[in-house]
Amino acid sequence: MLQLTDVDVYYGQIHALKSVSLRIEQGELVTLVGANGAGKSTTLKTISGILHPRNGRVTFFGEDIGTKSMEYIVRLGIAQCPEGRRVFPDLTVLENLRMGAYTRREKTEIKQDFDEVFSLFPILNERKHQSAGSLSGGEQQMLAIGRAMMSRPRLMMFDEPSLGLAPLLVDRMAEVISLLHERGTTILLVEQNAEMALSLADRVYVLETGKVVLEGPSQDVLHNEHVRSAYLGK
Amino acid sequence: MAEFLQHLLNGLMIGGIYALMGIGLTLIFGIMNVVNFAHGEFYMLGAFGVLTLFTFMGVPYVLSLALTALFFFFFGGVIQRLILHPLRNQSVEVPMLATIGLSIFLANMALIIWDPTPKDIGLPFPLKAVQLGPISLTPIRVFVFFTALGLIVASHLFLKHTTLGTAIRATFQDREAAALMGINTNLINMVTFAWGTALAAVAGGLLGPIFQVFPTMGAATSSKSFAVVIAGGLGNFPGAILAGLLLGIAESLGAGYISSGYRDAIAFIMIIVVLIFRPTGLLGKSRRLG
Repeated sequence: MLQLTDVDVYYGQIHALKSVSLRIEQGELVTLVGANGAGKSTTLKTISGILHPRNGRVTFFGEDIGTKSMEYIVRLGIAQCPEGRRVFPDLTVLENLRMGAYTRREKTEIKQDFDEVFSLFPILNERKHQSAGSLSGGEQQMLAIGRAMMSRPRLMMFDEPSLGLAPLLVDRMAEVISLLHERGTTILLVEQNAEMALSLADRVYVLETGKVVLEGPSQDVLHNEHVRSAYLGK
Repeated sequence: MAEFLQHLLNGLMIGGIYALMGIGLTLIFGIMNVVNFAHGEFYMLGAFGVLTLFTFMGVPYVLSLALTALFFFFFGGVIQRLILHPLRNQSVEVPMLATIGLSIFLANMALIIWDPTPKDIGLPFPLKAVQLGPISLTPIRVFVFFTALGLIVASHLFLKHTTLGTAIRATFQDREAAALMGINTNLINMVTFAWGTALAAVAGGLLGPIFQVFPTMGAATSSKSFAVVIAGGLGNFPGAILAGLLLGIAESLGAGYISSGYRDAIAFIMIIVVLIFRPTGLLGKSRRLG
């Protein structure tokens, strides 16, 4: 479905991704783990078109998207739930969700997706006329996820969904992500909370200083000595 | 009392125009981070547009105004695409310098086309004033005020209740997140600039029949628009409306009770007072839209 082949990305002079290759198959939940600055967010930004690779190819269902605009990539069916939530603070909850559906026109389908988001997060329905900036951190994260769902993506990418949330809410986010996965959405999850990420994922890529150093099914990676000591504190 | 009310109403009319100029300028700054020094020239060209259509060609006034607005909407879009779009990733002073160059170019083009002598647009409506007790209102002033008010309300409704308007507000709040929603932020820039340009041109076309029209008329209005934007808070839409109306009233009262020689100084006194006491603008929060 999505494939990165030998992708190099630079921030000015800084070589942020070094020949990264990875793939995601339809229906999978894949996670990227790694330390701060390992290139996890950079990988997501490259897929969503915020950054463009200098070398290498990014393909989605066979189509090269490495040079395409963000707008085009969203229309193809890739949604990102960005780090730090990034909801529109002065827009209401309802307006934020509408912006998630910005690329779509079919009214009845959009209506269904509103209902789906509200059934998953009833609190958003209660607060739909409040400004997003007045919500708590956890509610904003739910809104950010709901907003990404509104584009009916074929691939949904999460960047640090647990960041800054209380432990109870981290569990709730994990539930929501696995529920979306069970419903058939393909998911790429970036997490510093490696334990949570590994417990959810089918397959794992471990990134260190811009390179993929390890990949495999999460069960195998969970038992890898290096991963256990470096990321799981065991 | 009658004199005071008369000054107040005149002030509201001029203030409506300042607000119209101010919201365009504040939107362009808020969305695109462009300090547009050509805004006064768009105002001047709007007045010349109406002069050409209404006075020289005999097109009805309201239609002349509408055609001018439409033309400058497209003109603004083209200017944005050709001049500002290529500079979008530069630091803020680069597009600012480009708009200074543009303002000089446009003012001199107007000098060549229409020559420097001030011109009268002529009267679009009967001169006969309507008496409301002790106050007299000429039809053109009533028309100017209500048109300005109508356009401000329409702009607000557009931002608040349409999908494109909501996308503009979203882009204003977080450009990258807006792009992640599939919003074409380059198109948002173009629409915003086109719209601000059209509002400035209409402002010129509205005030044209009340004052005279000449190629350098944009300079004073431009600096007053900046006063409105700064006093209202940079990028603050309701703030620009409030500051515009207050500036118009302050000017009118100042000219009436102190001396008309101080009229243009009042805008700058207002900026200084606001910056001392409310440095983020009259409404407190510096960035707010719709």
